[in-house]
Amino acid sequence: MRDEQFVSFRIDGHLFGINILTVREIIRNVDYTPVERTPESVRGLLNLRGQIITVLDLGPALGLPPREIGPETRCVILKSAEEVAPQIEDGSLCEEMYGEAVGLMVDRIGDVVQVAEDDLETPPANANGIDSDHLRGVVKLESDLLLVLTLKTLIEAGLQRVDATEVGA
Amino acid sequence: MLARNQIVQSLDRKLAETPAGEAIYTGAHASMEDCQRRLCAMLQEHRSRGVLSEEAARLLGDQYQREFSEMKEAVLQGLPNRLSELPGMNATMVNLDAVTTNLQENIMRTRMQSIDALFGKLPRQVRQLAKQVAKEVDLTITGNEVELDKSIIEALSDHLNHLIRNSLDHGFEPADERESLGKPRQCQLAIRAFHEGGQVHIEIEDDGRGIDPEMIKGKAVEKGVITAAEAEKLEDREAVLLVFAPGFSTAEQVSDISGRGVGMDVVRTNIEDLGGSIEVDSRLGRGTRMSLKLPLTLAIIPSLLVKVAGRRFAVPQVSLDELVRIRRDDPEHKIETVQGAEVIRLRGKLLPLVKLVDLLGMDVPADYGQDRRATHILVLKLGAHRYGLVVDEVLDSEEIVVKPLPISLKDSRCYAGATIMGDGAVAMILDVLGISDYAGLRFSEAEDTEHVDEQSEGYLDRTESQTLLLFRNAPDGENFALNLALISRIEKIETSAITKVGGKEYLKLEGGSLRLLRLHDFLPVSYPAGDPPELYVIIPKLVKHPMGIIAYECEDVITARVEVERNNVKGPGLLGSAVIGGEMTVFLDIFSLFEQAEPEIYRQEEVRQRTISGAHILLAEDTSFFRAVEKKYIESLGATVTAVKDGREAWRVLSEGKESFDLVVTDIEMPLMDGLELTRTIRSSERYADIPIVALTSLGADTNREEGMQAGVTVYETKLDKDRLAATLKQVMEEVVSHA
Repeated sequence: MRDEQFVSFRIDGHLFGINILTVREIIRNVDYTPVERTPESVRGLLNLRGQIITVLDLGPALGLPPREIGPETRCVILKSAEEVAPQIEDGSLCEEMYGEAVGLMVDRIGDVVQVAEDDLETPPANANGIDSDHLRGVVKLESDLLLVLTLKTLIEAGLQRVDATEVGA
Repeated sequence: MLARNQIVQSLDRKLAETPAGEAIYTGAHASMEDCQRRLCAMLQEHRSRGVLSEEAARLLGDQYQREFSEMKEAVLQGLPNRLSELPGMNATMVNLDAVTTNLQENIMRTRMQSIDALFGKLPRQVRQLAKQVAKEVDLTITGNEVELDKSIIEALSDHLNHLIRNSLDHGFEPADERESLGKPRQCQLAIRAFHEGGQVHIEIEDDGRGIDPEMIKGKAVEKGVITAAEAEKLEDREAVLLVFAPGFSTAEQVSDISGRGVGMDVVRTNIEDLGGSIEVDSRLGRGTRMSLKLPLTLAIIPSLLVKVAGRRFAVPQVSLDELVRIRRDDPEHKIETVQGAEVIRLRGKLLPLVKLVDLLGMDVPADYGQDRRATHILVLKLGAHRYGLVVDEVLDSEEIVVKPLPISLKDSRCYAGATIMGDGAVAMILDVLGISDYAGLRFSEAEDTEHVDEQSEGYLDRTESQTLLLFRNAPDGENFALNLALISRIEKIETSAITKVGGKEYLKLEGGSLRLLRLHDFLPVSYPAGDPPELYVIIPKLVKHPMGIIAYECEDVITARVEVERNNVKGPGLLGSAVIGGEMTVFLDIFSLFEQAEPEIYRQEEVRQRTISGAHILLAEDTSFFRAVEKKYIESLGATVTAVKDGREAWRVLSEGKESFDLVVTDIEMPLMDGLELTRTIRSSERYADIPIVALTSLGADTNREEGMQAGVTVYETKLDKDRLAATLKQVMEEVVSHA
């Protein structure tokens, strides 16, 4: 039996989790440059020590309102698929990753949660109102439900939806 | 680390004395120490590995670039305004800027690689190919030392091979045929690389059969690229260009060497994607020359920074034609609406406008733009078309490091990339083509025809644009313009720093003192009621006795194609006037202004220069500004000048023979007939075969002088350097006299 560690965070009150190996770092700096005429979930670009990182807000893709920046807002920098590859034995995590490093805006960072393999349950069709397509599983914690995200499909779903307002030609 | 020491030393001197400066100095010092430590560590690593892999070299270059911008930022931001008011601080800042620029150039070189990486392989390849097509080829390669961005060199390899194959396979005749044509049996293939005008030129020249325009036309009609009627109308030169048309491959038979279905159109597209261009010059029976022009580097581009709704954007300079500022209350230049689209009238033509804030749908406060007094429009060019991009503010031109867009943004059409500014923020680089698509701009047919007319008239489109400094002498006084090429630098000074000696004003500067002059003392222009606490001093270059011109305020630096009207404003010290951004602007003639201010110094020189007086000189120069300036220079030497605007006109004047000339002064780059062609034409004529020809080149252009000398240029001289031009002309004329 193997344990898996999850980084947990809140988006619009919900507690989400992602595998700790997918996270490069968590930063306080959400001072990104907004970029318009981009997919709905793109908030802007951030300079992370010389590397340009896209800051994403997954709220709308999850059917939740867009994030507002508050004192506890953080940016979770995800590794790129290439970065993850050498660290793990099985390839399953790799498939989870988006092609490049991106930053996820979250309302608040929670604890790192250690979960036994058996405790990760198949998500119900509609866990806390979140579409099960975006969930790898759920974990029943003492006081909360941890929703474990499928990163790649979720990010890609967010990037599909282009900002709807077109210019009147 | 010499550069760093220079910075530290000059900061040391200026800062350590003042208590306020100490803290900042310590901070800046620490951050530079830190930078140096990291740079050293990187170098150490580099050495310990012995040989640097290609990828590592690139990473290292990028890393240097980042370190550098951090360092510059740390130093510049660490100096609050208060400090810049310290006496002598401005000079230090100018020095710092020069040092950091130097540093940047050094860093850039780490990305550069000599083209030998590409050329070195060629002799072997050509030998093999020559064997396959059973032709003897004599290959000459020059310019192996020319440096280019690594990524360009990599991308270029296939295309260079393609062009060489073309020459070997189609270009060269079989040896027997060559012999019967009176050509040497051995085919001559020359490959050259050289720098010119900030670009790298690569030429592939063969002495083969050349491209037959008739054959090309026939093929093009056959393949449906053009119709027979269109083919009739094509001139030979235009017909040759058809080889670049999509779907055009002229190989009679598909052979091993060329004609693999990859047409020249692919070569051209790829070269253009690299920011370069390709031209073909072919003479039937004599040979073909393919000329490639490529940017030095892809990673760092000159750009103009603009601000919209509080955010900065970068626009590549290469797409920028000119800047237009329209004052709110200007009745002449108003933003009008034509069929629902906003336009302005620019020199009689309608320019469609795109407002960036609307295009991007940026969030703006309700009172956005209400207090703005003027509209700034960037005139951007898309091939033959132009459109105007409306922005809030024009900030500065800056060399920026281009970062590719993240994958997540690859579908956004409005951006070409991103860059990191000096303060660490990310700014988007605008995509000039993407924005016009996104805004749904349609360029009308009418505009196209207008453009064609313009070209047949000749000049508007090919006159070189000038970068001008606009300034004022008094708060509401006239607008003045000076070509930036004539300016060494601009200093902001405290009015109290000016000292008066014997009725003349001086400024202490870098150990010497600089004579200052005020325009209203020499020109009939308005003057300020009193001096503000700070003034600007414009210091010109290329003059023997520099003097600073005092300006009340410096308005703007613009790049524009301006026709200077010389008749409505006349007088010593003035070149003429032009309308810029809707305002009448007076162009200064620095040299005659200085002659007025210091007649003693300049008169002595006049006496010495009399030797060429009485000579009749033909001046060919396409840019009206340079034409006017150069004409004045030469006339001031006592010679008579006939000025024409291109080589063709120059040759017409010469060949008509109505007047006789003693000397020809010509620009190299001109439309219709350039300076080299003019020189060759003159040299091949009977009457003027021996006339001295002085070729003028722009400052800093690394011209292919050898080619010019072969064509028959007597001597090269730099534009706008009056003293040297005078000396050269004098010398050339004396030689003529002694020969006669």
